[in-house]
Amino acid sequence: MKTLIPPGGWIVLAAVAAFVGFITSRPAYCFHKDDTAQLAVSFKHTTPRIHECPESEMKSYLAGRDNRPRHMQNAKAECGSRERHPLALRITVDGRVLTEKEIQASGWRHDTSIFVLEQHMLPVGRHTVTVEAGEKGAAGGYAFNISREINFGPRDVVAINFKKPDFLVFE
Amino acid sequence: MATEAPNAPEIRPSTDPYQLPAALRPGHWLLRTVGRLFDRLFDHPYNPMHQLGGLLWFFFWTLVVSGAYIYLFYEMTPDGAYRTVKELTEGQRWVGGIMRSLHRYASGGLMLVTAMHVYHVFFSGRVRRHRWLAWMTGLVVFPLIWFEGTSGYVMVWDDRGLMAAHEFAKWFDALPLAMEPFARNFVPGGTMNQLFFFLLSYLHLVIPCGLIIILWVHNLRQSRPRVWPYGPLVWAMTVTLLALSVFVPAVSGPPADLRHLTGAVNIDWLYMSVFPLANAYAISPVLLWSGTAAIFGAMATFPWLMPNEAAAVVRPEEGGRE
Repeated sequence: MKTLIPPGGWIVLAAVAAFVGFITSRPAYCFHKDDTAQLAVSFKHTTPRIHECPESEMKSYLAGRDNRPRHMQNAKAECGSRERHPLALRITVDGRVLTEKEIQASGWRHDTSIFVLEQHMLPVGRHTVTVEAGEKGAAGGYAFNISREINFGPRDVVAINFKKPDFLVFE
Repeated sequence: MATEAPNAPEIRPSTDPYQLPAALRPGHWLLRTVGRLFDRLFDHPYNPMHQLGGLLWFFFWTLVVSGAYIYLFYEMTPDGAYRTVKELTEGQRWVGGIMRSLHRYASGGLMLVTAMHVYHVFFSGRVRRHRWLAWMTGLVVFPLIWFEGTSGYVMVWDDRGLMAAHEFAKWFDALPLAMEPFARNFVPGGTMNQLFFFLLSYLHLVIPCGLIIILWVHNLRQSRPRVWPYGPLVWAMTVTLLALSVFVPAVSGPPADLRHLTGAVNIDWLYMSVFPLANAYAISPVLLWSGTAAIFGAMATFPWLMPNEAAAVVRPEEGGRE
């Protein structure tokens, strides 16, 4: 019985190994060229409820609280509307509006936080970036904003975060 | 450990090519031609084309052993992940470095052998009758191997890992799975923390465990499943992998930097070719998911679409193996 791989087999194995060695790290692929950069607006925010619980309603709620099931006894969560306002967001770069939209609160009942991630590719250079946010939808106006001239280097990612009432820029 | 090839029978095609649907015949012709050539080059019993299933297990266990060693030193934090893998590669050139390279190249071998195995099975028409189970479980194994390999690159957390993470995030965010975009992890000042690496490591450990079970089911209805190649082939493969690891060691790229977009990256084309493809042709994640679902959905119907005559019944006296 044969116990060794013949030379022809070794040549095939060496060729396959060379192929695997090459193909697992070459050739390189360029995903983003040096003349591009990215603006990323990314944050988590919780907007106010559409119907806040008035004091009188809270009192009556608390009075009858013990008759409710345990999971419905949290007055803050159960009194008033669960639904929250949508967030209005507008992103403008060099006077051009790149994003203008209302973002609904997450969850089936629109009662949890809003997660924002807007990414825009920009040419390298200085750009005036304006980000505006409103907590009561577009109709409620944009109460929070930041406008700033930012220098975008080759393949830079500049992130803007919002932590009420401030915007934070990560350059 | 390694099994010998006692009384290895002459290998003859287990399926009459004229019983195959016309569309499969060119693929089957190529399979037979390469098989005959390799029979001559390797001396018939050690032809790897006839031991693809066994080779798959060989690469799998190589990955388990080398991966276990790497885990001893791996730190599941954004800073530690890159540092520990780099230290392993450079600080322990002849142990850790080789283990890492073995892990890299065995994963490449696994993908290559799996793809050849799928080709071999499909163009031999071996998907009908009792083989439907092996075909269907194989369809589950393939994406798991792909995910395992690609997520392994993310764990290194160099520029290539960050690129893969960005692309994964795009894909996952196209699915209505989570409220928070996964891609927020990879934005400067975002939510990236050690939990991400813990989750990644957890998946990297759990998926192989699941693979063992699925591959066990995969072999269930086969009369003589090959779960380890013949001895000389094992040694030849081990020597080849070691030589590759010594002469072309796997190394990390520059560390992942969330403040910069991915530029030119040396990518693993066996696992990551879909990323540049999607990038070059601006293929949306939704289209990618739809296309993948369509391809796998179509492949899942093959056992029932292929005419009965094409079903391969591998009789022991024919020496049919896979």
